[in-house]
Amino acid sequence: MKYFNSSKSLAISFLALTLGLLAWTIFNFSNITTHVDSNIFSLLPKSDRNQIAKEFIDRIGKSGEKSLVILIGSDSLESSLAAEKYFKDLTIGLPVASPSSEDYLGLLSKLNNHKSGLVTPEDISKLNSEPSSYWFERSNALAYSLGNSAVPWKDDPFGLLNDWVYKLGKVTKVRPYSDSLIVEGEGKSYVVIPLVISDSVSSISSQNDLADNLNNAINNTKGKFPGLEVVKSGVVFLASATSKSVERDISLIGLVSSVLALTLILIVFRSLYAVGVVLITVLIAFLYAVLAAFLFFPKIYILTIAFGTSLIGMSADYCLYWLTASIDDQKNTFERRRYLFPGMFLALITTAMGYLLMVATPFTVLSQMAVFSVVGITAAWLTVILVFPFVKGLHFKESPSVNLIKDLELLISRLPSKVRLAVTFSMIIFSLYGLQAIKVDDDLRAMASLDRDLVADQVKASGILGIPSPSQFYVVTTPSEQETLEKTEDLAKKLDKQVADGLISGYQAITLYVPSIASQKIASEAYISTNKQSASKSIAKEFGMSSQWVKGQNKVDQPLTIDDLRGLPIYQKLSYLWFDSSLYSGKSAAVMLTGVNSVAAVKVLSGLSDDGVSWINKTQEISELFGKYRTLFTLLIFSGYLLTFLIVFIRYKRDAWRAIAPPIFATLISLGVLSLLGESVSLLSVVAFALLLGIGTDYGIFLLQYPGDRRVLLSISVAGLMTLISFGSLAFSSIPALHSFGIALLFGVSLSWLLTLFFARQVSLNA
Amino acid sequence: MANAFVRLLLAGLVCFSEATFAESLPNQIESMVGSAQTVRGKFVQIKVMTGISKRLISDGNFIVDKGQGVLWVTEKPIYQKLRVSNSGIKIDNKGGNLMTLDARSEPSVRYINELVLAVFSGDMNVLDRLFNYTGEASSKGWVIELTPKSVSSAPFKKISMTGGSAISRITFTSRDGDLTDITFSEIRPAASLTKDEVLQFQ
Repeated sequence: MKYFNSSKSLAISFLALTLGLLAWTIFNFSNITTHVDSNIFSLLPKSDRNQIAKEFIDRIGKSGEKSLVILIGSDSLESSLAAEKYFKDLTIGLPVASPSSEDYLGLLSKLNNHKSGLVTPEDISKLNSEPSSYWFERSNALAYSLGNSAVPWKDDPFGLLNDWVYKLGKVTKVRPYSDSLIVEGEGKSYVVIPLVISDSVSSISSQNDLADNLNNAINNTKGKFPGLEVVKSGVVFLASATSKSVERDISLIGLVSSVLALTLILIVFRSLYAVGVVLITVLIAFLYAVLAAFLFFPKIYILTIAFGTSLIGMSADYCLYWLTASIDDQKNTFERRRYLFPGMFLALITTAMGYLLMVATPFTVLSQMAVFSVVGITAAWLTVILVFPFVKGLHFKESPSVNLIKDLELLISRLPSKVRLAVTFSMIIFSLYGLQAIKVDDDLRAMASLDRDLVADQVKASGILGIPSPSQFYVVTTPSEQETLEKTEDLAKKLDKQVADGLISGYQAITLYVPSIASQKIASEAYISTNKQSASKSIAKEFGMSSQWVKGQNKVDQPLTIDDLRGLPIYQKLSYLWFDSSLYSGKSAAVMLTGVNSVAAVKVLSGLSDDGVSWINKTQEISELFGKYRTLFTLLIFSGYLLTFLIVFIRYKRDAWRAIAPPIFATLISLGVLSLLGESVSLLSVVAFALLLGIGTDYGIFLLQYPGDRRVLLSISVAGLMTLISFGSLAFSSIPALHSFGIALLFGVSLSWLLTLFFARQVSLNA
Repeated sequence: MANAFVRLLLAGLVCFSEATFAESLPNQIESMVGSAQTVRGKFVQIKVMTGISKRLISDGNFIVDKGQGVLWVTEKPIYQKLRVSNSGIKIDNKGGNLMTLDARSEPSVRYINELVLAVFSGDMNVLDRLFNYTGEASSKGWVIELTPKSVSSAPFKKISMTGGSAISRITFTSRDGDLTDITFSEIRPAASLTKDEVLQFQ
């Protein structure tokens, strides 16, 4: 009785804990939902070869998360401006604001204090060569010109600082026009509307609302101005589209798998009570899964939840082991538990192993999926093991469905040996085909169902605005600020050549804003050239300026350093180009590129890296990482089968192959089917086949363990169907990764089940 | 170097506008100025810069053509020819070309051309887009003052224009207090450019 008591108290504790957690969840529900995240930047792997590069990407991601750009274009500037006004009126009251102005004048007066070092290379060569008459004329021309320049003539009588500032302006193609921003591109005049999203927009629903309202405003504006082109770019649009399609996925997959799972239970057990028990188990599984994901991860990517719908079937699976075992069974519930425990434990471990492979990857979203699933199935398993023995009335009669399975088994076992041979032979042939026909796909984008039009818009906006690529850039790191700036300038010189050759359209570097002290020294030396000095004396005479003024125009200023810009708004804006933190030794600069669009360009660009200059190619790096884990998991699956075979061989000797062959053939044939369907193999498909290793061998082991127990046959058949439902429904997903995962298991599990029957030892089932 | 002009106008463009003037004013001015395709004339420019005792006086002639752009020739005390058109901005002095700005590489050329044309041909439609303004018009003539909305980010404080049947005077006041005062004379509207003038625009 002691056993009974401890078992009862365990069950009660588990139920009490569950109820407590349920109450807590209900009270904190709104808090939990704000942790759901639809930002595609969350998909990036967490481990990086280059921590500084990661920091730069984070900065781009962080500012990108909160900002968006809308381009309104038409054939005439006038109608673009009118459309802008109309659009802006429509967006009044939305939680977006125009970015703060850049304090151009504050920057100019700061630069004026360091002007001797801020001279363009063109002007430096003129300072070193042109006679004083040139400088005299040049200054005169400026003085008598129509109007005045940004830096007043008396501060910049030769227009040197003005030239330098003008060159800086070339970084962007956007130009102010009245209170608008304009850019020309592809034969159209675009008005640029940059917007910053207010901090109040944090939850997915508020993000979706904002995206909807902006889209409505865009559509209304388009309706009002026929022929208008609107290009929108911003993480919020992608995130909203992704979360909407994932939400559609979740409802569809959830509905399909729930209906199928419950129908299956109804057909097999003909009892609404059984349906209710399974439903409660599934809910408990979800409760623990959600809480675990919530506790382990600061943000839960929405994809995790879509994948999580497969938990419906997975958790129902364990109930089925119990429920099928109860059919016409005379054992008491504790004996049944003892009878089922080894098998169920094996099933839990093998499935969990498959998932744990996902935790081992540096991809947060895969870890989330794994934690969600492992905790969920464990909770379901515990519910069955701890609580089910105390649930009254879980005893069912044999239903005609059992005969169906039996008939199928008989059909397969009575196949003439010639047919068997033919089938086996064709399976081997097709498996070989499957092995060589694999098409791999290691694209990160498969993890998100990115709207094609939005991506096209994003690319177009980047092209028109000259926005640098966030995934391909350089990071320059050295121990000191000046060394980093000098190395950056060296790199910039090499890039100038690539721009001239047309390999890239441009680049952005901190040294365009703050040249190294060495460069400023060269500029300052030219700045005090004797020709210019004598010209300024003549100018002073002509215009009545003091000797003090002449001195002021011919002195070497303190060089401009990055510290000088601190406190100006531009410092914040340049944070994606310059990085110094006490967390890292050394100073780093990023050099961003625009218009990189050929493989040849990438090859040349990667060749420019050297000691201290790293070429970061995030897209390639992520693909390589995906590929690396895909290969690693493939090897793991291979050794997994080997290990399982050894273990099974010790116990079942010559029959061991019967447990191993079905999932192996199922995997290889699935590969063949996938390639015939035009599907490619990704990391997630490999994870799917790892799960199949666990699930598939279970069926075979169960049949070897209880060769005559038709309840076991029913059990694995119903469990197989349930697994099929839970993972197969993922094939409906619009997210390529989930789709390929689902479809791999759809074929894998059904084939594995059929082949287990096909390879089963021929014994009478009438035991 | 001589990007000064570009920057001047760029700065002008940064000036923010909000149409707050009485509706009749632009129509009145526009009806008085008329809409000749081409206007020629002479100008005297007086620049008064803070910290510089000398007043810089220059004079020359100009041609404004709605199709071609603006030709601004300073004759004294130094020769300088400025041409602003849709395709570029070019400044020459007696020694040759001082600066060329291609519209293909500098997108603001188009807007500068538009603004210059608007100012010198009195295109109130465009000015309305670019500036705040106050002013009045009577049968004797008109006065208009263009101001940027945000003075802090623009080196321009204001642009004042007076005129009658044609524009007679423009004054630019910079943020630093520099004054550029341009007086026009002998303004002659015409239906088109002469062959010689067309060549000058090339």
